[in-house]
Amino acid sequence: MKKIFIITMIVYIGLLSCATKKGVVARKTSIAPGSRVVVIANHPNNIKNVIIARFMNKNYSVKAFNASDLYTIEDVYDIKDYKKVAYMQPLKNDNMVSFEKAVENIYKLHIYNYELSKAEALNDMRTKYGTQFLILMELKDWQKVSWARAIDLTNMEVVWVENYPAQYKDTLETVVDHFIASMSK
Amino acid sequence: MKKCWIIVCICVLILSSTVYAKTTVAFGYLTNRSGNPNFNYMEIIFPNSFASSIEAVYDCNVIKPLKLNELLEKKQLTLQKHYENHELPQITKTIDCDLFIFGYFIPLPDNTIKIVLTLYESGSNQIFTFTNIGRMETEIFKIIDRITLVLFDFFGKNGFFMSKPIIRGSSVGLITNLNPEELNSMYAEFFNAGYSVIAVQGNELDSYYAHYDEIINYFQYISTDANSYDIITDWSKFTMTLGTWEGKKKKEWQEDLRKIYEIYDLNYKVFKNTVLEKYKKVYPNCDYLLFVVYDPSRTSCWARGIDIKTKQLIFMHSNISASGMSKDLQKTTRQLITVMQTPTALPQKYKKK
Repeated sequence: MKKIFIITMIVYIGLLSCATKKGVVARKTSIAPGSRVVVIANHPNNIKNVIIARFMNKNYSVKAFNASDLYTIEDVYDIKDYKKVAYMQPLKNDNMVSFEKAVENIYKLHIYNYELSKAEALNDMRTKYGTQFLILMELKDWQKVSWARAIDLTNMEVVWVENYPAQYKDTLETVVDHFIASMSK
Repeated sequence: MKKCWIIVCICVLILSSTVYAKTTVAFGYLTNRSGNPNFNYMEIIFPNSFASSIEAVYDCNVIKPLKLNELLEKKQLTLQKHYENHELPQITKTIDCDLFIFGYFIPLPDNTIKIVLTLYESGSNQIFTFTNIGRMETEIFKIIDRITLVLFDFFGKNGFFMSKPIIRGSSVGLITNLNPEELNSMYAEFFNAGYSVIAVQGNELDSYYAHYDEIINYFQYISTDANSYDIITDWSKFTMTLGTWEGKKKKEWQEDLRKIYEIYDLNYKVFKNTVLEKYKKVYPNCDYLLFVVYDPSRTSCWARGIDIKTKQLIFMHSNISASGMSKDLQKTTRQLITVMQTPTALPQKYKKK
């Protein structure tokens, strides 16, 4: 009886761990070899080289663009400190709701604007570099899920997404090849 | 023994029915803002109709405007045609109601009418305003039905509001609190349901919003010209003890504070509309901007939807949760999609009436 219980628990935990590492793939259009792409992955240069090399081997035209060329929201303006600054003011008031709402609206406007700034930067990527697709990729160790996503820069539409739980036999090259095969289907 | 059980059950049922208190919904005037006194008679007719309709569909007690005025007169007050938002907490306390609904109407050219209603739930400090436009004579009952449906949805379905369904085939920009891997799973569900997804948040390697839940939660409140769900503020309560003894620096700070209020509260909608106008150019294919915030276990979410073309809040739900035992992000997302693409309707019982 005890054995059955232990086995059941092991199977259950095993199933749970599998459930957290679900693979996901969905696509709208195929990104065929020959397409002009920018591949952005936030990894050391030697890994970036491997990723780009795999794309070049499959005849993609890879534009020279680096993740570090892009700024992040935190580099631009440290908006998250704004609230702290606001609260540090000596406001001896019971009713802070009005002020809080104004501060929240600052954040909201900032986020609306931030999304616009990113889109304008991506538009430059299309017009100045002649890029068709932006490919975002994050490769992770075994037991974790690597993910990738492609955006058609002509209409800013997400055209392909995949979450790939790495297998025992996988290497960096095989994971990248898997992604390339998946997006070009 | 069996008899005892039955008696206990009956007692529990009787007690629970007596403890349950019905929601009290009070209706103020629907002010005629046309400037034409010929329409004044509608100021009471409209709220009376809404009150009767909501009473038929929602288990509540209603107080119509004339009765409400009588109640207020007993407390040496009169029912006003208009209330400022910050006056609502006090008025609902005086009336002792759970919900207070009032508004205004303006007859428009081509024989249509614009009705704007404001809903305040006692003690919530949150206000919901929505607009409905329809034909004056031929569609007046349809308008009443539409407004009743909005009231029913908002109070009966977790703050649900839908001015139109977001149908499959539409393009949606999604801003969420999900990390990139989860975002892919969410996008996949939208793809599978026949939507196009515009890369609003999805153009990032890491998600800024996933790390700052507090900021993304600010989008629970969305104010647009026609429909809004917002917090009531009263800057008159915001006092500062300033005088001639204050230095230049303090006065500059006071001036900055005034500007913050002007820009980010008073004129916030104007600034936001300017930004949303730019969205039309930058994301020409994006029909709707959706803010979807999941709970930490990803088994429920709240959502707000803005129509990019009209810049109006068109969809709102405060608690979407998938049914069944094993809930996850994908199931919650599928439920969200089902809710946002299904046209809302009044219960069958009401329709028969």
